Amino acid sequence: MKKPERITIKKVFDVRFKGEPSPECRVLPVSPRIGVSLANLPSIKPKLVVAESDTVVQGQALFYDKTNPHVYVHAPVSGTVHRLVYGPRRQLQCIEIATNSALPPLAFERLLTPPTSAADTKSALLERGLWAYWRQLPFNTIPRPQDTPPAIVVQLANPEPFHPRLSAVLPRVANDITAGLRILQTLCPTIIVVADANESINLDDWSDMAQVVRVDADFNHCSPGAAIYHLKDSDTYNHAWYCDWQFLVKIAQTFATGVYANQSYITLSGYSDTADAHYQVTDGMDLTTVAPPIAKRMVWGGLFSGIAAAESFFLPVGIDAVSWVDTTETVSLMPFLALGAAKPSFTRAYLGHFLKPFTPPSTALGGSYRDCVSCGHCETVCPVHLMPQSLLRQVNADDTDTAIRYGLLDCTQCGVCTYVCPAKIDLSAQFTATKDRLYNEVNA
Amino acid sequence: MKFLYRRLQALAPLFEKGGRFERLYPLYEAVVTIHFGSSDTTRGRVQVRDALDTKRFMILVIIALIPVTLFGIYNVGYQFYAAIGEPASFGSMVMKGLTVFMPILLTSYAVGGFWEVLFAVVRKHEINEGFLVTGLLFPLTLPPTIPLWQVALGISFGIVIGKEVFGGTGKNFLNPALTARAFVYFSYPAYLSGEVWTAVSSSASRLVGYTSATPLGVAAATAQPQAVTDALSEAGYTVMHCMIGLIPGSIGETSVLLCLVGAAILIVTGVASWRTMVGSVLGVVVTATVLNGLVSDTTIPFLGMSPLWHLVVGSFAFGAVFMATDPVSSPDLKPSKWVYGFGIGVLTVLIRVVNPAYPEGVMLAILLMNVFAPLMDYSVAEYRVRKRIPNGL
Ligand code: SF4
Ligand code: SF4
Repeated sequence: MKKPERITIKKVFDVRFKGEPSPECRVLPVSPRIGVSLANLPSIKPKLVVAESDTVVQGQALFYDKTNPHVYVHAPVSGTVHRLVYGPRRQLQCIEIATNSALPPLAFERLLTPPTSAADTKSALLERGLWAYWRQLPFNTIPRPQDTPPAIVVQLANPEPFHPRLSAVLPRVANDITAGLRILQTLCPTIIVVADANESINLDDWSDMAQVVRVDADFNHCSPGAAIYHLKDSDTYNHAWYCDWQFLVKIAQTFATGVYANQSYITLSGYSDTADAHYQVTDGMDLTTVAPPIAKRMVWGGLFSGIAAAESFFLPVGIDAVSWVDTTETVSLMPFLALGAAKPSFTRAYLGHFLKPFTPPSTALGGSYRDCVSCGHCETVCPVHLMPQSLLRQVNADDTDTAIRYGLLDCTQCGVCTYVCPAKIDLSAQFTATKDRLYNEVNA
Repeated sequence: MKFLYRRLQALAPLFEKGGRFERLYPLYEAVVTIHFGSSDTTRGRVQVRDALDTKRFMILVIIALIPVTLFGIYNVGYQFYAAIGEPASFGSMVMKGLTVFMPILLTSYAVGGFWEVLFAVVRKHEINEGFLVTGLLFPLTLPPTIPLWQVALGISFGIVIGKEVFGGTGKNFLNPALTARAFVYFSYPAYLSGEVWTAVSSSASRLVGYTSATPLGVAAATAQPQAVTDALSEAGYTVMHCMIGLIPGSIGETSVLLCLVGAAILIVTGVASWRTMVGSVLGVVVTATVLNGLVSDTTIPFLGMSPLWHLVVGSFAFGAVFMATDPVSSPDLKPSKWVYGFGIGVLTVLIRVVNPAYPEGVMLAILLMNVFAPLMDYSVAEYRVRKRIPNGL
């Protein structure tokens, strides 16, 4: 692993969006009903261990992953299983629980010092239902407990717009992050803490425990995948594990208190000037209690890699940002003739490129679907130096061998190439689909 | 305006799947989006998109072409009155230019548009706005005397053979406008060489000792022991003339200065690659300099034409700025753009000098380099891939 203190990802992508949530962090009470939504757990094949109207307590197992039978997801609150929601092809989507705070949580053994071996740490994490928060490169899947990570990347910042800023909550969580890093140290000697170089946080405390790297880049470019790409000196690191700081807080608290930690920090943005802020919430909370539906698109996760929430309003497992994106249609005559001072544009084709206005995000496609015009913009922005237009051709021609040789698996699925494409091709979706297919083929 | 938009939207079901005019959907889509842009919203995980689309892309190229087009129209009239030796006002020169140019342009758009719509309807894809550029570029490369039936044939060839047989815009590897021009050039050479550059009807008996040879024609025809520069100045051409462009030549290609204005627009807006342009200028300068060094008593005088003259005569400026930079037919990767541009410069001079039968080398040079563009990209990509740390299954 290379050991720089700072990496600069030169491919700049600096469109600015209006609506940064306020750094103020509010605490929300637990909602009368919560939902454990699987929307952000794509690689899990769930097998339920509870049934409708069962009583469950905080920290009790709800389901496990059939492909990884030791990986369970636990109930964040005590109460009664109110409803099981299935999607197409009888796929479990959400477990709704009617909260009952009177029921005491499940008591785990308190671990005041980190376990002494990797095996102990793993079984402690598995037992406490914390494993499903891990992810592994290159497929962004949940790693198998029996594997040994070649490196662990801890993300201190999600550089997509509007995600929780560690600086907003640092005093509350700094000790837990330190304790969490101690726990991770038992799993793997190579721990890389990735911070956003543009956020001022004192990282000195953690620099003896891990390799601390500040990434100077825009938006999605300081993702774990991008960090590994710029740091790796051998292909063993291609399968690094990663997590974010919230995971460290969760494991540190659960280990120390013996109670399944159910609090997370999230941001709301694009909802209203008064509501857009940081929040400390209970996992799986019902968002309609703070943000009843409005005529905007509700997005779980980032603007570039989020999921358009359909009907469910329960915060899915592992989602820490909720955005509402404007969907109003603006009609103007020949919009492509405008000077475009207010248009967000990566390219110099609109004046907005030079003026860098803060524009509110909108779901407008901004053009029509066309074939690739070889403009090369996608290549200009890719944080891991791929040639997305060539990859696209290979993927369309089903030539996955060449695509892999050209670096398909390095793709961080950041969505920035899709954002800039004037032909409105969803490149990252194609790469994601191909990667998912490959994963399934390999693991079939 | 909103009203009109709503009316158009209300018609949508007729053209969408299952509607009565389902087959004409591409036409409907083109009409709506040309006037109001697209009202589509994002799908998938990327919720927001850049404002840039292919229409903006194409419109910027057209804006960059406006100066040369307007000047071309004026110059057609100017050359006409100069040839017949009659003084004329600015207005009548422009009028004359318009009467010559507009039929050519309209033919190009009408015939080109016909093929574009036909293929879109048959292949069930959207109409690509690229033809708006092709349809304008092609007339600008033609002499004002071109018969309209040749314009129609040329643009048909360019769009059908140069583009659609490969699957349409984005999949073609030759520049369609140049393909059209090359077709006309090789099928009807008489119309594109010799004294055809001034729009005087053949019955014009008033021609009084006026030569309408282009600077490139003069240079190619220079015989020993005369030097090219002398021949050019004898014919009344200076570098300044060629920069400004009030000289005989293809309609839109004579003014180097206005090509530079177009280049500035394309570069500032990021639509065309400056690497390609600079590369081709370097190619011309290097090659011409080398050839100048080879000049002896036995070589043709054309060999001694200076790099500066090579840059300002003929269609080089127009070709390097507007034709070579077509993103679809030029290479994708930055290093290959340098090589590609340089190659165009080298070939332009070589074709001009080595084969004076085709004094205009730019067109062939670009088409030839178009053919090699995928190979250049492939080499650069393979080189880059070899430097990556592999990430396999
Ligand atoms: S190919 Fe696209 S989605 Fe993948 S890393 Fe590059 S820019 Fe991001
Ligand atoms: S951004 Fe889109 S149009 Fe441009 S090269 Fe990439 S895929 Fe092609």
